[in-house]
Amino acid sequence: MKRTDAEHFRRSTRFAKLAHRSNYTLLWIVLLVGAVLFMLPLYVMIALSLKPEAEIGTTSMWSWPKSPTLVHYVTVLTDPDLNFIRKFFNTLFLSTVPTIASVVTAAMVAYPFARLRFRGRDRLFLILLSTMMLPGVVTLIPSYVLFAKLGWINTYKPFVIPAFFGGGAFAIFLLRQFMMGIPREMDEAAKIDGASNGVIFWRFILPNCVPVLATLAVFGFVGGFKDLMGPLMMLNDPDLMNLEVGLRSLQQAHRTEFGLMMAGSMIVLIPIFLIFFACQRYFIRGITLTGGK
Amino acid sequence: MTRRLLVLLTFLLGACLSVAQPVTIRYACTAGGDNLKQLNRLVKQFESEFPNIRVKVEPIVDNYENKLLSMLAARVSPDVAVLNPNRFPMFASRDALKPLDDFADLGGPEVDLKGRYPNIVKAFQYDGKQYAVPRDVACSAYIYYNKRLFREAGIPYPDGSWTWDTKVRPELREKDFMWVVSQLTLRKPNIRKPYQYGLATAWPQLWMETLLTSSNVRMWDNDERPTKLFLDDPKVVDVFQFASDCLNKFRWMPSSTDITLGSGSTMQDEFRKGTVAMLQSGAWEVKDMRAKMKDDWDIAQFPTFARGEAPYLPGEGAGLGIFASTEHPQEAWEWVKWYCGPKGLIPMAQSGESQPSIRALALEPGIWLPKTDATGAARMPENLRITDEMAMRVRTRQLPDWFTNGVASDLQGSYYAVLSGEKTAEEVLKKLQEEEPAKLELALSRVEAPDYPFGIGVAVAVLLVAALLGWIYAPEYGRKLSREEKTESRSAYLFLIPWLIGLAFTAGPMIYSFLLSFAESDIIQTPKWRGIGNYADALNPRIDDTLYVSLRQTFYFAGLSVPLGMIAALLLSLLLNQKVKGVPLFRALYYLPSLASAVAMSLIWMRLFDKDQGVINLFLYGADGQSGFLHLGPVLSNMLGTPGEPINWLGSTKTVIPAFVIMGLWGAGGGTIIFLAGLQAISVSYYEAATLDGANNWRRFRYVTLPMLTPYIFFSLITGVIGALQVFGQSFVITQGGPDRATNFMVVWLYQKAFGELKMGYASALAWILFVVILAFTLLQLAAAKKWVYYEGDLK
Repeated sequence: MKRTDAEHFRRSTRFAKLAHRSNYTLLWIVLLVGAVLFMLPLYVMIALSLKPEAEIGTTSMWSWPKSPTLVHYVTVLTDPDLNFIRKFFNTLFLSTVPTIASVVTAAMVAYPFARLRFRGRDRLFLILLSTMMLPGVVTLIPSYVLFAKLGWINTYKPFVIPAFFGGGAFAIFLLRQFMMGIPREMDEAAKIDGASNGVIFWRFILPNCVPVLATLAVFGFVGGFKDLMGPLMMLNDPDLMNLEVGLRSLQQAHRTEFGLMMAGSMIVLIPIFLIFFACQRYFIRGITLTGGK
Repeated sequence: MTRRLLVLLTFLLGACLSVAQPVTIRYACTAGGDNLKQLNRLVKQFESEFPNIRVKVEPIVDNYENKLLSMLAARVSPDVAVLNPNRFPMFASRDALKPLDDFADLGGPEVDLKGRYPNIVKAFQYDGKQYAVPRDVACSAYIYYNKRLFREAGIPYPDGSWTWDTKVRPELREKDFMWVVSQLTLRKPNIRKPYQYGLATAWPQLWMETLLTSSNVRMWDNDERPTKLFLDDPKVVDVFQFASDCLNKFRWMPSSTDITLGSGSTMQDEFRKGTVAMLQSGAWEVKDMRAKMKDDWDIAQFPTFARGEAPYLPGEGAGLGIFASTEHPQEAWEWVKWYCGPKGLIPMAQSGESQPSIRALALEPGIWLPKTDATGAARMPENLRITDEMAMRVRTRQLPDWFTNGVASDLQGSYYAVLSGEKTAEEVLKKLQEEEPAKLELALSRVEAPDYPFGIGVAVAVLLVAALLGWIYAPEYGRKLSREEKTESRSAYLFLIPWLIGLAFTAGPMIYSFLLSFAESDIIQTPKWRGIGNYADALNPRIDDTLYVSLRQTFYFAGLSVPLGMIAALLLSLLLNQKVKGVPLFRALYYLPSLASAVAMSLIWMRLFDKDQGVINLFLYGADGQSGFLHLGPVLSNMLGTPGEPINWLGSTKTVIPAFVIMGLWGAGGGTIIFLAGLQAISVSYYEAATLDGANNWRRFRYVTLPMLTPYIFFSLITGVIGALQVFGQSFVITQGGPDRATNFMVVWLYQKAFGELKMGYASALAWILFVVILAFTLLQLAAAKKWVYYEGDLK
């Protein structure tokens, strides 16, 4: 196995040399303008979340609050019915455990689709894709009935257990695409040395997939963190609910108070943002073995 | 020692037996937050009065009825639930609710039905039986008015003698509501858009509903079993057109953008700001108004119709019903009686939350009405007493299901087209009157369907699975495998085990919905057999052309959003893959909009696209509404055929889908990180080789990056098309299918069929039609992929 850090170093210096100073500045300006555009709705969200109630109806949505206040944040964080700490840990559980389970099993399932020959592969793959094609609206109630029959309503089982069974077509499909791009020389050689498929998967394929595993982990985490419908349908007990449901109920109690709603959204956004920020080096610095010859 | 222990044990056992095990009642409600605090206090109080009953509150924050339906289907429904008078018949008509007449003391003094507002009591009757005890009554036609603006206009405060007609009657002056509205609408010279509007309604449809209810125009012959429609009757057309003119022609009310946005909060804000002089809404605003406005406001009656007979008003309320499946009817009944009795109602009324259904409580000062010695905001509104008379005028309509979901729902759907000013009332109503009778006849002629043949259903399911297995394995059946291939195949299936087991969770419900697509199913009762009827109805444009409209709009959206979204994601990923200072932060910033709460973002987007104040139009038209960047706005307005008018992005059928596509681009961050992951897999050696060959930047992109990214482009294409054809969220939150069905995408429509109209069989058929469409696209793409997708580690 060849170390890749050296390669990355080479690559980065090369790019740095290639990038002329003017190009560099231009690039930076483009990035900055794009970022401003992308942050436009977020700016409104932050401004609204900091405006005291008196300013929300009466000032332009573009204005920065004249007397910024954290009152909406305090309301969210201290509301005894919301019970922020408890809901936060519920949310953390619901967004991490199923994500880890589904990313790992999705990789397992994607591996044979990408790199092994077996009976019925291409048609089974179409079956896999077809599970994404039926709108969830019509399977909502049958799923609920299924989970109720299993006695899983008002527990975390509907979120955790299915995650261990393949992690969904989207994840499997993306991993399959990634795995198909990995050159075959390495595992071919390993196969000749007598390595089993399990070893090849674990030692060669999985480490190569780190960028895409990280991507999927972020998707899964974000999805779990912001899930509204799942907990809403499957859980009854307010103490088991996640933040998103809690915030929704807080909003309803305060009847669409914009500031409160935006503060709630910001509070959910911050941990997701931090996770993304922490994870992103894995998107970029996967242990790239590709092309190593 | 042993004897002592034995005695103690016997004693303990006796103690246990003598205290009866408390019974737990599950109570489902819509409450949250503050209401919940109050509710929990009340539950404690109730439990101390009834020590053998425990009440477990299950607040359902959103999708209230869907969850109740799911619970019913799974037979885990709560014992007691809050019900809405317009929606409870869907449970009552299907025997899911227990008739309260079963309890001997329904007519007794404790329940005191006679002391409650008769209309709301009647509203909870179905087929002559009482299904809920009303808790509160909520007329939605109070006029909140800003006293200062009345004084400034020199108009006396309303005294309850207002009347209205479909024209202004200046000779009546302040006795004519519309004259008052017109006088309170103020403009600067030469600017059509008023800086102060005379009137606004809490949500758009309310205006139309109020005018129709209070003018009492006859649109069909009777409510029990409507057989004749008079939709294009001149009186009906007159009221419809007037509702639209108030918004579009006279501009007494905020413009059609606000109408299509359906966001309640703006209007209340505008009223508090003083840009709207009067606000029509329900009594539920009282609490907020007290808290946020000082004391220079009050409420007034909605005017009576000048030509009218019975002055009805729209409204609703809430009541408590008991599910038929309950195992503890008596305990459930105790809770219903207690909570809808004075002990439950008084705290709710005192907080200004809702008007109690018991009339005596609504009239006694210090409960619903302010205390006689109250001061400041607490004594507002001074006219609260009028709510008694208004509650007496509330009328809720009970129409047969097939009518509500057919004609009545199409009629409501037409409100948008009329209120947005895009079509005249006459056009819309003439067309409805032409089309609807045929549908009505069909609904009336529909005979009772036979029971669903479950045996055949199961057999079909088994056959289906067998056919799939055959399709998967038959082509390779009998092909001899080498030993090596056999081991490879065997280990492949070992890897697939989790997915194959998990398939049960997805395939089970899928097969179920397929079988249901041949049924008439309301989720609650056992399904009836419809054969291919659902498919035939959906595909027949004479019965319903919605499928074609809906597919067309869905394709339009997908055709614009998928390529644009992919190009944006690809460009962003190339940009964010550069070695530039701060690029990790930029990546996070570009991804942020895709992370933020969809509902909060939608609310912000509505404002960004606002016709008058939105930043998009500010950019296009400039601050003066004339110039703007490169005169883009006026040019676009001319192209759209509305010269001189700023684009009504979300309110016009022509621009709403492009607006959705633009909003979608802010979510490109998700696709970007997929491409970013793909870019990492490209070996540097290829670039080095290309550079050695003298390739420039463009050629390196074209011949190295692009081919290596094709697996991800293919992935984005497949999942993008699947996602776009199932687009739901934006329309559901922002436009609810409107304007004029323009965003009535397939899934939005079938959601409405499934949960709005309880036609799960029909919805399933629609879902499977969409499935076939998506499958066809996917197969085409899979076939084409062989030509352009390059896999470095391909097997062949």
